[in-house]
Amino acid sequence: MQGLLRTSDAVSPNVTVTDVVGSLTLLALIYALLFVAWLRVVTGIIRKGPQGVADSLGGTDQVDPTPTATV
Amino acid sequence: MDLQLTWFVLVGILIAGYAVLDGFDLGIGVLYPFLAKNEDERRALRAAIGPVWDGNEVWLITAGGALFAAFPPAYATTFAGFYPAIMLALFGLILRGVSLEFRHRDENWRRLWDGAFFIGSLLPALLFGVAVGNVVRGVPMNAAGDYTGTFLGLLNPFSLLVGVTGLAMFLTHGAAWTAVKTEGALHDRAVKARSLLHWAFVVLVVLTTVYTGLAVGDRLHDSLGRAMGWLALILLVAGVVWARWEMLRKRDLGAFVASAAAIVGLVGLAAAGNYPDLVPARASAAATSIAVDAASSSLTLKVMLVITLIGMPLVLAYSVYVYRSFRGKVDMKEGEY
Repeated sequence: MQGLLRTSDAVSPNVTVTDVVGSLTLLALIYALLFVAWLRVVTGIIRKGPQGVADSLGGTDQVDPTPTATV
Repeated sequence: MDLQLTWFVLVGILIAGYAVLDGFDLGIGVLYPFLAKNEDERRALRAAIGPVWDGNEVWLITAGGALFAAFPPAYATTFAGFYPAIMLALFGLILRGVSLEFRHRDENWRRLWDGAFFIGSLLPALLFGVAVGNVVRGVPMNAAGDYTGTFLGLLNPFSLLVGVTGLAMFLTHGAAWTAVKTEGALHDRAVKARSLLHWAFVVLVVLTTVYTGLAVGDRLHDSLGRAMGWLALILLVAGVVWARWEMLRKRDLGAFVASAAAIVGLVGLAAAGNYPDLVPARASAAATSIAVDAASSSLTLKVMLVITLIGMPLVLAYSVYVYRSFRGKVDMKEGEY
């Protein structure tokens, strides 16, 4: 299929470089914020530990923190 | 009914379905800071849409996908021409989705997530109407169908009025759903907001109709389009009157269903008014409009129809199952069902 529709021919002529750079920057900023937010949540879960997470979920059973391997 | 008309109607149904389903959860997102006065009420509002909001957004993806596959020139002109506005709406949808997922896991950033939920709901709720306004008004484009206007040109008075009308429609629908799902003080506040917003919606629809006559002129020059337009207008007026009747009778579910009927009528009116055009060219522009005959090949439309006939019942069945599973009021203390 190479050469049938070149990328340069498929570009939207009315979408400017400013539009693309602006939207890409905003997308990067939003995903950077989401990365920080995700780190905060994951760090919080790790700090609580398995028992803390089980308690906050309303469970009463002991959680075995040892990972089990399955083959 | 020929294939092109079938797909014109199907794309219309998908857009109307999106407006009805995601409309109420977008509306609740915008009303969220004003309706909820404490943490329990905020939790109840989030729970009112929690199990359904992401399923509702699937309708937007299918509407966009159907437009892309069935009418590629219309998709190319609008999605490229409205690029900055569409990206803003998309960022809004990202923010609101994430805020709903992170809000209860990150107590220290509650205010940030609440703000993101509000802004992320407001942007699409307003911008979808602005986009519809621009399509109804006519899009400036060249003979190749490329948009020749600017981003600020999209924010013209007519399209902004249609955007505000759409926002009022979503807010009314959101308040109606809140009344269905909640109890106590929050329910009473939602009922008051629903009544006020419904009046605002009626006034804005009348203003938009008058402005459409002045700014756009009579588009209903096609007999089939005129027939569909009249049907949609009857549904819109009946939905508005029926909703007021149900509000007076204090029947929350009835008011919500009537509000949904009015939304289908309004979306149908906007679509039928353009028929057989999909994207009319602005009168002053030296270009021809993109009409339904700018469709994909008959084979493509037939294959898509078969897929739709299999997929649509599955989506409907899934939706019915979810709404039935989470029927009834939200527990106002726990924010659960």
